[in-house]
Amino acid sequence: MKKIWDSLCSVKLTIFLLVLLAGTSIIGTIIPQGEAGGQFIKNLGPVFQKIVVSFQLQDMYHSLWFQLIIFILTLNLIACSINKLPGTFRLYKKIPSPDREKIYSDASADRKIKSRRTASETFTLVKDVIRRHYSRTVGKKDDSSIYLYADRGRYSLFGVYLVHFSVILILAGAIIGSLYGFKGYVNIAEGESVDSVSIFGSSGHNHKDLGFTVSCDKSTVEYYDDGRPKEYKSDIRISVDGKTVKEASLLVNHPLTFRGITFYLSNMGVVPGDEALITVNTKDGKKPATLHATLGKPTPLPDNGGEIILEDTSEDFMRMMGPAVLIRVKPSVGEEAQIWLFKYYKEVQERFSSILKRSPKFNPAAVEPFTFTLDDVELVPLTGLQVNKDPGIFFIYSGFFAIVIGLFITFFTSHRRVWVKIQEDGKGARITVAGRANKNPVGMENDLDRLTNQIKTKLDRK
Amino acid sequence: MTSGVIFNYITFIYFFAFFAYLLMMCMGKEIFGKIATVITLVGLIGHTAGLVLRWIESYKLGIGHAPLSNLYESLIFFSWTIILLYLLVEWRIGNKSIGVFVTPIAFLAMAYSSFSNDAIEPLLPALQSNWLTAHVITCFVGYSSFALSFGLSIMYLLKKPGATHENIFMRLIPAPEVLEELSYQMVVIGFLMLTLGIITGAVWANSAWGTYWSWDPKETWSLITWFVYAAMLHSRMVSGWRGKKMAIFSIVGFFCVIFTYLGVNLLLSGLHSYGSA
Repeated sequence: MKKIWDSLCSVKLTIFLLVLLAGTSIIGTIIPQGEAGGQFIKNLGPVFQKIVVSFQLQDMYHSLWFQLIIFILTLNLIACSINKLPGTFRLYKKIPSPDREKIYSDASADRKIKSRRTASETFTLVKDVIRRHYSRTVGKKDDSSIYLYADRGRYSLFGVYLVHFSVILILAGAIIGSLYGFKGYVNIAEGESVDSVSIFGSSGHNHKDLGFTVSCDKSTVEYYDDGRPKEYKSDIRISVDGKTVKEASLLVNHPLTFRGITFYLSNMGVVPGDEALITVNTKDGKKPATLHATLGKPTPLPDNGGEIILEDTSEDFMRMMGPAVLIRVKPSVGEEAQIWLFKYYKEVQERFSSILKRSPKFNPAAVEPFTFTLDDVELVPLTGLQVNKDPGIFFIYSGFFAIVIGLFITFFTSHRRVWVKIQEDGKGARITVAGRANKNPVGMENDLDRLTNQIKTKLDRK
Repeated sequence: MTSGVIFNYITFIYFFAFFAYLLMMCMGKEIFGKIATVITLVGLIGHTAGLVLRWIESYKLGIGHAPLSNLYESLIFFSWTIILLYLLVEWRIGNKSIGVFVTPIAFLAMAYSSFSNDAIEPLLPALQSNWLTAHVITCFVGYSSFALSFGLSIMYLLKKPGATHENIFMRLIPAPEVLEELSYQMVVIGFLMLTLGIITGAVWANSAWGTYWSWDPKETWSLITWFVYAAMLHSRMVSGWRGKKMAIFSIVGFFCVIFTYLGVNLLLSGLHSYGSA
């Protein structure tokens, strides 16, 4: 038991785990992670596939073995702190004896000052000087000498514990977030409302009821002159039982929080509406007619030629062929047919002629005597929202704050201790100034130089 | 753009500065060292003016933002912080030999920037945040400190402790203890700044995308770098490692920094795509 505890407390383990984490983390930056990782596996040979899957390398940061390393590092951190904290407390409380011989005999010549005053007078002066810089002073007297011990910055002993505590706080925040929070998304078309969102999860996508309604009143995209997006903006309204309780314009970097759930503007798109403008040409050379078609409703063709029904609309057919609509043509004479019409028919014809030839469904002149052209499809702006609840974020941010303070204390403050010996020397006295610091020895030397100079000035003045 | 022209000149100025430091080191004449410092200082002043000018130019184009938004601007800022930090160190310790090892890094960063797109471009919505400035500044002050520690570590490895060196070059390099202490101090500053850089990045990502950490390659590599320097600091502060081991640690760490900064964009893909143009 003691052996396990000792190895848990060892800094060698810490260094090993840090290097191990650094090394293994590289894997996940080379092998694609998450959904892309799933695709990646399919193209691997069976052996590699087995290796990747059994170590969960396509999602390694969530794998058991990776989290186990982090867990052991956390245990190591806690064990080290428990192991060393009592010693640090002792050091914090302890007042070293002012009359240490070794420390004075090590002092260099320029830390030795002669005083013409008596030892006790000198002591008062020296104490005044040191009090200015050092918060805690202790004096001691024996037959021939007076001693003074002073220190400051004792709190710096705890900096490193604050850093380690912050790391635990951040990890705890991450765990709380993954246990009690959720991450989801929802798309809202302009003018529409939703009251539930889809949750990302390992077991596919689930729906979650929000308990309130989120509506998008308006969504806009502004562009720079060169065509790049300048601003995405979505006017969002939240209502409970039909009553509006909150309204805000969401921007990227400006989320909205309601009842602990935060909405982030994550993407902008369009969805096809239910209206389209279609031009009909007939072979007899009559003037073309423009039809205003609505989804699912029959629209009559000119000259009692029958009717068309708009059956489907797409903002980007097969994600490459642009806006398109599906119409069912019911001519007064002849058989009815379904036809896909493209807004950019010419370009589509040039680029995808092989696809178009495969089916009469892509022939806009399939039903005699008509030729159909799609002029426009109604497109409705769509707001894509990332929806999160993360009760761990408070811990994460507290940890961030504390780790910076902790690092600062650890590296830029030190526990400085000063010893002064005032020895009777005839009518006057001899002063020896010495000091130690747990960090930054150069800074300590500068400090001692300053103290000796100030003591000298003070002795000379009066 | 005038700023672009200035940066072209600065690239050459840093090369001349390196050359002057090299002359000082090879010939042992103090005058070359003084010239080198003056050249570097002139470079820094011009460099600063260039940065301010580029900022003003962006406002004149109506898309005002701090010049910290793409690879070109970040390389120039990286080089600027390296030189600034170097001059501070030179002034503090009064030894010019470090210049030979540090000015080439600044020169290379400037030279590399000339291969990337130098147009002042408007900020995409995700970049329009005050966190951008805080994130970039903290990261690059960190990277520059690590760069200095890297240079100092190379010097440490060249200079064999205790040996008396015949040639002037080696004699001008400070004592190994001085190099080591300084290198360690640079790592401490770098580590604090890298921590701040990762934190500001996380807070920013959380306000933009609702995720403070997504194991994106750039994030992961910054964390790898953080682990390496954390291991270095622990091995020094607790296990008492010194000297050669620390120097090697610092060199490995700096390779991680460079991979985080440039390698990830060149070889891997992810959220930081705007950093690669």
